[in-house]
Amino acid sequence: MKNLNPIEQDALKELFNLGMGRAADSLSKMVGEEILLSIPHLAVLPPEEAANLIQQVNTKSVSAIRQTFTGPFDGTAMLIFPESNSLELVRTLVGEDLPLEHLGELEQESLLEVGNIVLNACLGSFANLMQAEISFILPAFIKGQCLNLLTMDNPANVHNPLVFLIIDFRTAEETPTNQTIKGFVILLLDSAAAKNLKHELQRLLGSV
Amino acid sequence: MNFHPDLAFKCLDSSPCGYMLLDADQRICFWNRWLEQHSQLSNHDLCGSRFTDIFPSLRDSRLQDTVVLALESGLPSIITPKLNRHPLPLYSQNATGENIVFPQVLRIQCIKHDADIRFCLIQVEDVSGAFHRERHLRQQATDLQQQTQALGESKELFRSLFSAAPVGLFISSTDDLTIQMCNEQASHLLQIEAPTKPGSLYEFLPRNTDRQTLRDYASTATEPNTFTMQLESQQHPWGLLSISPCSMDGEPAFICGLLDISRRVEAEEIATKAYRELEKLTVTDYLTGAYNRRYFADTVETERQRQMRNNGNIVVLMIDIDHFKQVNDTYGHVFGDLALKHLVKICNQQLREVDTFARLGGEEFAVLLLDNNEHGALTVAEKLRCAIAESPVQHNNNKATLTISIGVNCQPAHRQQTFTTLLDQADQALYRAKATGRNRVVSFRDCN
Repeated sequence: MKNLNPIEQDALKELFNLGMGRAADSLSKMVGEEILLSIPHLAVLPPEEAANLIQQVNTKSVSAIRQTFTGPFDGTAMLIFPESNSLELVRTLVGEDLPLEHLGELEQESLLEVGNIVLNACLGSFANLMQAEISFILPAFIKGQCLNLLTMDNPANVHNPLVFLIIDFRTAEETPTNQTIKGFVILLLDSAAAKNLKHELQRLLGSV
Repeated sequence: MNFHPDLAFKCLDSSPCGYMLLDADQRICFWNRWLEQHSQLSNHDLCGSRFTDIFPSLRDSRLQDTVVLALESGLPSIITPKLNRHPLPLYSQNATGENIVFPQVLRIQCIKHDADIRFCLIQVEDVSGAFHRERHLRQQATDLQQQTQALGESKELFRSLFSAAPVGLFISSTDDLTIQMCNEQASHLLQIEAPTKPGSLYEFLPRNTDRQTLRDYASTATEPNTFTMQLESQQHPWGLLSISPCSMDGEPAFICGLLDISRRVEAEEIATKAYRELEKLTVTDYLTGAYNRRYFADTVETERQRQMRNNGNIVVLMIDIDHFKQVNDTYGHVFGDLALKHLVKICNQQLREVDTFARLGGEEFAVLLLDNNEHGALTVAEKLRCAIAESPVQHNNNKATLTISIGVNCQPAHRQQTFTTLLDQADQALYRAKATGRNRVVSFRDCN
């Protein structure tokens, strides 16, 4: 997957961005106000590098929504937030404000639902591209050191590159507190999947 | 293995969650016992119906969207209570016995059977427990916030009172009275130059302050106490310091008030002085400043009682100026008055502080000698006679030498003679002195 060239990376980003449009529609319907989702950046990186980008200085742990899949090939998709961002996102979407520094029990569930929608959008686009019968497992919420989360499926190979996406959450409403909340989507693929991905992207580009 | 497919449904029936299985046309294939209990709808009645026909409110809901997603793309979804506007109409009793729709977490996933047949399994979980916990947590946090706010407000109030009080206030340690915080008035009265880092109270008290009394109190203090003390400030020279033991951040401390009592002390001083002057006016002779007859009588009586206890003597002298009428006639009354003042001045110079010199009236004077005897009395009398004779009175161009006659009366106090008797006896001696030529001393003892 290291050899995914800039054009292929751009094509993949566009594909995911289409998915984000659908996810944003779902989210907007749920919370009753317009939510905008976009992917400003996509890169293929080794886990360590991705972890450094996600885990800011002073943040001990990150929150993640994790969804795995099996089939002709295996993989994992994760939506990762530094903890403060996850709080901000949930409280922006749900509107309630628990006077806590950490996510409450139900806030965690809400974040899980939001993450599920975003990941489904990515995985839907991915599955379409791959033209394969993939089985998806229900999402789960996890917390921990970013690098540990990125290598938990295959701790032996911390150098296996992954697809790294930055996701911007934004409310359309113009308010003084209107901020973009950043999240990160990680796509971990086994070698078969990585190989197929390049192949399918080339096919897609060739057919254009 | 003797497994029958029904066994799987029995497992789902015994689960403490709801399970609903939909086929590719979104028709209900299975509705487990938990769902039956909470919906009052039986599996038997529901089977074969599209779930949106049974629950019209769920048409085009997010639940239906996720069901479609699962059936078409195989993607699983989760629906959580806070973001879900269309929960399944499932009821449970709340604390007050009402039937309410409980908060639910729904998990929707695709179940593949054989190659192309897809089903959708919806799992329903009652999360009212989490809601209660969250409500409780929020209440606790709100209470805590209110308490913190109230505490902050009372702290703020204390701070405003502390700084606005017209009394000097400060908080000090108990060991060396190190001032930990002080208000403006306290730093003004104590003349503290750097109120943010004051130091020990002792540094701000004048050198002559009784530090030991303060130290003794501070080392054992359990009750509040007050101390009147001088201050360094010239405008506010007197302060009343009140000290009360208190607790500050768990450590013993003193809360001290310092009141400026300079005006009060000043007023008291003026009043005391006025009183003394008034007192003097009532016991002295206006013209000469010598004590008056009444004061003399009182003093003799007090002295008599004292000497009775001591078994001592009471000694009285009577003094009369010789030929005073002539002096008045020759030089005038102004000169006569001057002569009287002159005599008082000379006699007081000769007498001790403890002796009492009084003007009884006209040119007649009396002396009470303390702790004396016949011999001593005669000596004093002789000294007085000489002193007067040796210092003439001078006024303008007039000069006159006065002489005095003195009657001495020394009696043991135990005889309990009255003031009148004592004076009468002295007068008899004086008469003898006059009769025998004036300018002399005669004792009553020699009269008989």
